[in-house]
Amino acid sequence: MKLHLAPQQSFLLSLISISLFVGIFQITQIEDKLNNYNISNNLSSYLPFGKNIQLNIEEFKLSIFSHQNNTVVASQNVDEIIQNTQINNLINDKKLPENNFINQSQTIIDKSSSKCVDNCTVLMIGDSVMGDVFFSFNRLMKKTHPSWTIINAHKVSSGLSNSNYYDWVKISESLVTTNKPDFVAILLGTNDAQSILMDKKAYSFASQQWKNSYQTKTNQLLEPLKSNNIPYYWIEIPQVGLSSFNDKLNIVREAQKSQIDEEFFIDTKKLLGSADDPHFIKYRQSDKIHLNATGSDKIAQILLQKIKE
Amino acid sequence: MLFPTIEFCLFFLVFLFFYSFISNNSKKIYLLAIFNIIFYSFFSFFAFLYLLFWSFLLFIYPKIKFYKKTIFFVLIAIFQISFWKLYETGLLGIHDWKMPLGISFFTFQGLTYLFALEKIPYQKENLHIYSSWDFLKLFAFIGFFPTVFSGPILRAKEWETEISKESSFTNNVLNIGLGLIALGTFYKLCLASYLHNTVSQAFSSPSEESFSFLWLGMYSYGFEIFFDFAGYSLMSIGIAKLFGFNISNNFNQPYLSSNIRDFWTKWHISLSSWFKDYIYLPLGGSKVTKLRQNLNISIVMITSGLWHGLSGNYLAWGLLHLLAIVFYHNLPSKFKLPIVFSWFINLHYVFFAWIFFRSNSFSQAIEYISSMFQIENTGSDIQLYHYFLIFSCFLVIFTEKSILHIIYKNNIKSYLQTTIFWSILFIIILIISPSGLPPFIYFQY
Repeated sequence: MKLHLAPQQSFLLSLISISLFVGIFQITQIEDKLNNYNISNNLSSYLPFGKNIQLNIEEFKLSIFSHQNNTVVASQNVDEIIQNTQINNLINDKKLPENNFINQSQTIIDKSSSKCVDNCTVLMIGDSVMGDVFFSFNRLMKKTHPSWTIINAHKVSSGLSNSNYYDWVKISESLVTTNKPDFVAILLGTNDAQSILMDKKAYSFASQQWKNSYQTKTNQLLEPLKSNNIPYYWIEIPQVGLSSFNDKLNIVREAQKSQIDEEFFIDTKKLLGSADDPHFIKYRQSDKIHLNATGSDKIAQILLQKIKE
Repeated sequence: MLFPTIEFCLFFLVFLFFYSFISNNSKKIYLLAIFNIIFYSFFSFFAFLYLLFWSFLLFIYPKIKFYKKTIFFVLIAIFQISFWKLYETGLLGIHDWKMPLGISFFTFQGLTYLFALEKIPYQKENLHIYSSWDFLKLFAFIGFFPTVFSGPILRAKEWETEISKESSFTNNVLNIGLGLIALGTFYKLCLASYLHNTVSQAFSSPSEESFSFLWLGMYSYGFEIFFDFAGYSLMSIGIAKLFGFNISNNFNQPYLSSNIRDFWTKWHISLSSWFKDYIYLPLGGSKVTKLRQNLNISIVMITSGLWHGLSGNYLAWGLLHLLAIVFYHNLPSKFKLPIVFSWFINLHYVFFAWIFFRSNSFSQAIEYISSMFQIENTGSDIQLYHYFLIFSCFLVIFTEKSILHIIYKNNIKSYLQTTIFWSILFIIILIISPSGLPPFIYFQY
């Protein structure tokens, strides 16, 4: 039997088929987009084939393009860990710890117990904004503490909300176990003004469940640091230019701040100003979200100061 | 809603589905207008209202009569571009507005309608139109979604011809359209995205980077801006091709030019020809004295520099190109260098000028350039993959014509083969590309 279609039907059918076929390889992105629009879904569990292929692709990419920072040896470690984490934890779909809504108690870290003097390791976790800070911090440390190892573990577009794209809770735990950092710097949240995935459920942004889940995730991220007595520094999401976006980020900032000991919190609003301040633009790139070298240098200096305190 | 995203793919499939069943011209315009609204509103509703306002101004242009109204409308256009450029610098003290994406592009595109009605330039009759358009048609043209954010800048007459044509949905059109989109996606995702990391690092604090890394940064930016912008243009052209619009290419291997004039005939062709047709020719073009011609070129190049932004570094970039063009124009006609030598000098001059374009300020550009010659500076090292990336870029710019030839003359006969071939190719592109999409450079202009 031969199927006869008009040219325009074949044309459209071809395009739709290509889109669907390519879409299978982008299944987690599609899932994330739907979450962004507050459409709860769990597509990747219906299409494990697409998800597995995608994770293998990610692994393949990481194995080829391990790069993008000065501390090459360290970055290879990061990539290795990310691969292991993704393959072992995500492909095998290892579940999150049961205590998802754990009590928000804060462990006090004794900074004096940190013994490193000359060969300290600083792990930098975060999104693209952290990428800017890493460049500055790495430069600063090359000058002031050349023997220190700075690990660049930033991941563009990542955050705590979207664990399908990048599961910081799992990845950071592995990063800490393998690298045994003496200090950890964290800057996350710019991409988090969206629905959050928790226990395979998506909670709408700014809802009470979202806030609870976000606080839980923040705590889960910090848990290995607290239990290993590793001092960490949580850099607040810098203020952005667009007030509607900034208002959304304020919800993220609040959720983060409620879980962080003040001692470990770096207040970027004081440091780099908000959109109303005349010097706001001096520290930002033209998108008014990312920091320029002047802005990230300033954070780098404060970070070093805090570490040395 | 950027081109290589899931949202756009869905949006476009729905648009194409409806469009493929329409043969009536006015219905096509209706549909385009509706999808322009959806596309632009996705970005910002305020910006969409702005687009609507500009369309409305141009709509009433033929209906009102007063002395030198053309100049008045051109001044409005200059004002609206200047206002947003000033806003970008932060000098206005406002940070909270959302700048309409592609403001310069749709303003210039709209002006071509006004000039076409006024028969400007008189030398180019093929650009003239003889009757005014209704509002919907004007809006469909100005907000034409494949090109509204970043060009190529279309001419009113060119667009009118294309919309009046009967669209053909054949396997050949599908292959060409998908081929151009794939090439554009490859440029953006596989080349520009990787180059972006090197460029960000080099330009973040040049005085603290090694001289070799800064040279790499210069090459990387030269290629990044080309692959980013040419990639977007190819995607636009491919998308428009899928529903029957033939848009001329915006780039014609500019980095193979052997002199600066040649470069400007091949780089961002839709903008440079816009400047040529609507500024250079009305000022007298080359049919004036040598001094006047140099003055005309100066006006065009300085305008081009400032079109990109009201700051010292863009002005310096425009002036550098102006100097080179004036120098080239005034060279004795017998003066000739071996082609490879002139290509090499020209390429490096253009790449060098990009440093001003990329820097945040004039002083940062000077800092960058002076650090490029401080051999004792230490900083990041060049890795093997950097060499591979730059080599790939050179390879692509040298073979681009052949690649385009293959796309236009491909021999895929059946729809099934088309589907399999392009699915595999797109998946390969996605595999190679890094996760995360850096913003398109030309969206800010």
